[in-house]
Amino acid sequence: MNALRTVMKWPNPGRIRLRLAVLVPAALAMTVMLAACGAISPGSSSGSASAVHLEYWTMWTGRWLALIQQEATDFNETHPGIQVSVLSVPQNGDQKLLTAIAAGQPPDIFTEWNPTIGTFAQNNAIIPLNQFATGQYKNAISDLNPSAAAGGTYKGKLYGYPISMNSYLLYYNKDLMKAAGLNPNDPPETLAQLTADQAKEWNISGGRVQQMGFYPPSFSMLAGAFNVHVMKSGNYQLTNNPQALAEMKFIQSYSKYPYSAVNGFSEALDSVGGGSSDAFDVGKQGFTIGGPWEITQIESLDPAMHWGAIPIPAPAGGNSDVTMVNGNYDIIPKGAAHPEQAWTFVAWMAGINNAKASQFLTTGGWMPAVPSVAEQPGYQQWLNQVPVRHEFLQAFNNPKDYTDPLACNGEQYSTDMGNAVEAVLSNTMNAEQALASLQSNIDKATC
Amino acid sequence: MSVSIAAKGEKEPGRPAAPGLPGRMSRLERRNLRNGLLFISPWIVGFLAFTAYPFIASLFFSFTKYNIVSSPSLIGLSNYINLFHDPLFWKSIYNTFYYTVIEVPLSTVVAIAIALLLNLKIRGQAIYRTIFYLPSIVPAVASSVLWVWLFDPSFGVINDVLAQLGIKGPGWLFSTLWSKPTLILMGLWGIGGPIVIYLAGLQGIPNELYEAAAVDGASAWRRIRRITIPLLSPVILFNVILGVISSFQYFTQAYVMTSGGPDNSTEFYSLYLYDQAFEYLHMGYASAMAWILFVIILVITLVLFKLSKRWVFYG
Repeated sequence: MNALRTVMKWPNPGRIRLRLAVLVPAALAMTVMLAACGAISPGSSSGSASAVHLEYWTMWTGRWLALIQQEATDFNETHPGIQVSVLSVPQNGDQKLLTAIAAGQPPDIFTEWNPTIGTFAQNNAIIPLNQFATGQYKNAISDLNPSAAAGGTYKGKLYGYPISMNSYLLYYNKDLMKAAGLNPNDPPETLAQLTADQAKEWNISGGRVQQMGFYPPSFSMLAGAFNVHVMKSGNYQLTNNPQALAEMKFIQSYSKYPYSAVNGFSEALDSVGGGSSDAFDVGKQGFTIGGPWEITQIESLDPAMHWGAIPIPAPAGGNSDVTMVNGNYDIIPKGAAHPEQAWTFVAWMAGINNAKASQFLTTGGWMPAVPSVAEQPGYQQWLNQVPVRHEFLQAFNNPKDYTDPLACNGEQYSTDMGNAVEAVLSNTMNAEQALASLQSNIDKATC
Repeated sequence: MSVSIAAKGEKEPGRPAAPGLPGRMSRLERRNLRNGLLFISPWIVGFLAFTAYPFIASLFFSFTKYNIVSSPSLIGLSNYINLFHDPLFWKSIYNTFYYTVIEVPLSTVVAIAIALLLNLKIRGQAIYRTIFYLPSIVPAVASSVLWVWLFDPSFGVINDVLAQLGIKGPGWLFSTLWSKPTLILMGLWGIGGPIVIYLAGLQGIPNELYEAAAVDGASAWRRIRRITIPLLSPVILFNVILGVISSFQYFTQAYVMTSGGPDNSTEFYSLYLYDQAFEYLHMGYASAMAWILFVIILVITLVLFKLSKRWVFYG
């Protein structure tokens, strides 16, 4: 056999094994690296060969992701020249996006929430969208709901295009009101009345919360009612700001409830059902501020509950019928391969040239950033199904609504404001101290 | 008669090469070396790309303003200077030292105590050892979520049990006073690894020493103090150093369970570093923090080694 091997120039089997042992892992490693570097393009075989392929990243998961995928499918069917592929990046999506931008291979579209957009814009990680507002899209920005547009605008340019927005009302549990000796058909119309009514609903025994009345959800949520403007001349201004102080003092008035027990109670109930529920949904809270999706949650978790929803009550001298506006914004990263086609998809998603936009918005329980979508029969039908939904739309269209302004240090502001509210509610600081500390922190925060 | 005198450092001709010198290797040795390097090349490439390069690059970035997307710009020592004026930086240092100073000694004492029990010759010992080690193999994130529920002030089992005993349970993770002690208590859940190492150390102590001490009338406590602890001291030093390093890098549980709250009472150093790097994109600032952490850990480790000469007994 050895002689035959010599004649036929077969290598030694041991050496073959050795070479294979070295070459196979090397080949595999090379394949992985090539794939990672994009030499092997996943999904390139799908759709029309001549179509432009767009990569769309979203942080949504579960049924929300299914909704987005349906959107992409509908778009692909009506736009044969463009094919959108959806990729879910649920954990640390922002970091993955930035890494992709830095590597020169970003997606074409990314759905983002407000606070980060300013940071991205300041760092030239995303492109302004005003350049696309021409031709058939000439009114695409000017027609937007002003509060929705404000959440995507940084230094006068629109960087995030609002596709689906949130509006909030005060929900009240009629059963708990009745049990507390309140008239369930006479919900509070002022914040002072709300504070007085909700106080009768708390049940704390042995240091453990059994039932809550109302609890301030966040600073931004009530900022519209207090007519707070957190920015002046492009900088955060929290001190020497009477409205901000009035709101923080209102929040401080709830520090009489044990912060740790309340927080533990509400967070535990929040995490039931994968984080899609809260204490109100399961009949353990008398009043809460929530969006239209609460209706679905209540029907699912406590269908026997009798409830109502009214515009967020105003303080004396404040704004009535206002809401905080936030939501989902599409951004186009710097270096995106097909920005023009990406814009076509973004505009379509928000409702421009899209007769089925209402289907997307009503499934998610959202307000339309493009006002004309509200006139679509599907959206009107959804509003009429539960009349209180009209109230959400009405609040959403109030020009005095509050939107967190974009700033290069918006993410830091968001975190620091959360800490300030926490400090006030846990009696670590009073309202003045918390705002002063917040101002000091945010002044030091570099962009 | 000819005498060959090799100059200092030269090798005499004809003498076999010293092992390990590539220039004098045989073909077989060179081939083996090449194959060996090829086999470990994935690790070498990984080490260079994912450890050595970032390590060196972070030193450079610590002197820059850098946000991943734009090019870094040199700003000298500004990041380091700003850090010393950042109250949350000091708070994170305080939180981390608080955790380390209590958790490391506590877990050392508890782990040694459990290892001593698991070293007894009793029936079913293998089962007990397995039970105590089991929590260590549960992923940190999964056990963290579990503990959030156990420690919940309103619905948690722990406060339920305390209430049965007539004790009003604290707010645990939701209380600024209790949040760090809660995480320290929870840290005891994962001491299975050190227990196994202590157990191995205990089994390496010769039985004759205990027998001789017993003959001399030494009590059990005296045997532990005079025999077990001194002979176990190298293992204790090893575990203490590892414990200090991991405490200073404490991240996962705080990230999952508290996100630094309430009121920044669990904003540990690594968590704040992460926030600066990946939430606010202050990569230069975060790099400076990483290097300060490196220096802190290095100094403490050197101090521990220095002090170890006084109490560690290497036989």
